[in-house]
Amino acid sequence: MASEKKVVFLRSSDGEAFEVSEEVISAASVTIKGMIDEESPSRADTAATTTLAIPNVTAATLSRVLHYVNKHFDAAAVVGRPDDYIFCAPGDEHPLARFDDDFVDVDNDTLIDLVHAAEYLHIKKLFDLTCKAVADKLKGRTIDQIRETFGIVNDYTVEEEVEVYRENSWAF
Amino acid sequence: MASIASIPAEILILIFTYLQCFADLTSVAGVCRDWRKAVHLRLCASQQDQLPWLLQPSHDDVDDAPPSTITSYVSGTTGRRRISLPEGVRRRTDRFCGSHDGGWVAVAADRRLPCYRYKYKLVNLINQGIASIPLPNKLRSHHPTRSDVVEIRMVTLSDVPTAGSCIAAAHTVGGYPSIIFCRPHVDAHWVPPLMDTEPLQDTLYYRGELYEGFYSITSRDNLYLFMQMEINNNNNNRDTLAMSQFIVSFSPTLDIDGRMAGSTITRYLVESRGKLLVVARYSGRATGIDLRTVHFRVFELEIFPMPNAAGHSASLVELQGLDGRVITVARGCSRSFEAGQCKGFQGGSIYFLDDAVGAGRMSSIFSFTDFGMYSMGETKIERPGLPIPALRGSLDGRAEYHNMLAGREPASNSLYGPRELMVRTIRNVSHDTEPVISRLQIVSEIDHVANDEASSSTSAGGGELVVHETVASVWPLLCESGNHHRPVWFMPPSVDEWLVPPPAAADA
Repeated sequence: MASEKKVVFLRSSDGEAFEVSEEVISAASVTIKGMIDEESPSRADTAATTTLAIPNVTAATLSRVLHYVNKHFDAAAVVGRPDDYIFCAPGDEHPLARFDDDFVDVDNDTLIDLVHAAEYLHIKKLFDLTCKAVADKLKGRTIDQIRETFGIVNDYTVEEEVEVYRENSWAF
Repeated sequence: MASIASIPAEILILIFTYLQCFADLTSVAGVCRDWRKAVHLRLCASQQDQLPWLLQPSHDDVDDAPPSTITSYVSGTTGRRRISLPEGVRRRTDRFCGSHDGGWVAVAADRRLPCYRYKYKLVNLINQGIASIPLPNKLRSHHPTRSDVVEIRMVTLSDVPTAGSCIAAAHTVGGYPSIIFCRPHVDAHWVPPLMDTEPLQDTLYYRGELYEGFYSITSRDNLYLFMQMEINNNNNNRDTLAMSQFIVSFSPTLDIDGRMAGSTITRYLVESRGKLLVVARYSGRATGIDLRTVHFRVFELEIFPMPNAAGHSASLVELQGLDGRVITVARGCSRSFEAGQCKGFQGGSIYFLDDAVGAGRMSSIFSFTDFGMYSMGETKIERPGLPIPALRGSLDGRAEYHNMLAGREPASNSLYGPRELMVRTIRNVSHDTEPVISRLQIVSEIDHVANDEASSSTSAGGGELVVHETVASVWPLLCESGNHHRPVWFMPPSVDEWLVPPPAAADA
């Protein structure tokens, strides 16, 4: 590992800048790695740190994303002590399973923002995690519950609604 | 802040790949047109097996009766839904006696005075637009002037009952004859087999390479094969149903040595990867008076004709693991699934209901406690909503064990969650190297203080405990207010056959 850790700054859509290790964010985000690679020639040998604009992600979401990235992609942090997970369930497989559970335990809008950010930044693990979390919020719900929870407008015609009702007539 | 409406279709499809349950996908498709399209695209990408639901039917002749519920393993802890049973299967005396793919159940209903005879029918619980299909309740007798009423324990089908070729086989209560057959829609009577049989434990229709027909396994480790013979009845020129039969003995038998010798064995037949499997369930009375499941073994069955037309013989090969399969067992409706097709499952698990041989003997009602899941061999299993904690060290570390469960323990009123784990303990004391299956009770935080004594007896005997391996969990189903019947496996239809396709893309 390099003695001097290179860092980059990420500027959110609302103008807030966040510092993150270049190595960590490159490992995590395909999008940012691409940006850094593009920048590389111009910053050779300069001590100046790079600031990258992330126009699609707000500060609130970006700080959450970086929290995730630092937990998952910082090799030094991940290895950790084995005591942390000696008692995790076999299904957990990963010592960060509990962190992940808590991470996506947020309100719907925040979660959707994370889905968008993970997709834009191309962080596959985070994208999978957040998509699964959205799916979990749909499980076990009735049509009306889903419409209400996520604020979705029913755009079925009356005739189609009859079919929808027939499909679901066994449940109540 | 973004709403879910901002999610483009291609991401919506990815999100829906995490939904597998028929109920979830049906709900989601009903939300709006865009979602229906996404569900269909998701189904085109990958159609997955539907694991059976646990259907807990209730009767509605009590005012405050709880609704019937279904529990879907793939839907996770929140996947407990209510289902409306059709008219005519909701009485206190009605009971479910079989299920078949596509949403079908066999029901014994309408038990009325004066003679308490049941009427039997096949009902589709999902497509309630299909009229129920009556099954006879009488046996064709050799006596021309009378027919015998039969009481049926279990019905299993060769095909969906709407198919013209469907044959039903039924085990009877009372055991004579032990198995009977009829063609739904066609026959007004059940027909007995040509010859009397040994007591049967399970029957399954299996399209084997050699023979296609109903395979029945007996409590004496023999196998009967019943196949349809087409014969013309000269008297009235109507086809009648007749079943040919032969018996196959297999070896070795399913008896077990060692500590589990003398266990009651319940045998199930399952078709898996084109082969016929025999699943043997061993129950003992180790914990008080309840008959409890302690062990499972799975065998692959091969039937081959003996030379010189001297009958048939069969061999059993024990499987050491399930190789990525998930098996649900119940009389007449056991099924095998590929864990790779069911997200959240890693294979190696057997799900069982409270239908072991002798389970109802201690009391006339089912105890609702011997439901659970057994994990074969080293294969780690996980059921959504049912975390199986790893056991390390000795059982004396129980305090830690409880702590570990805190925060992950399912709600105490949840249907899910193990209340008891079966732990295979391997001792390193020379005279006792055999694995011992013992029980460790998992208790909720609230009552674990009072329950320590119930935990386990493995520390007795002075041996040093070296390995604990969780092999199974037993969880009692809540029998809310006593108005539920025994749960049954229920197999919903395939989602893409059931859902109406989205309107053509003209309105894009």
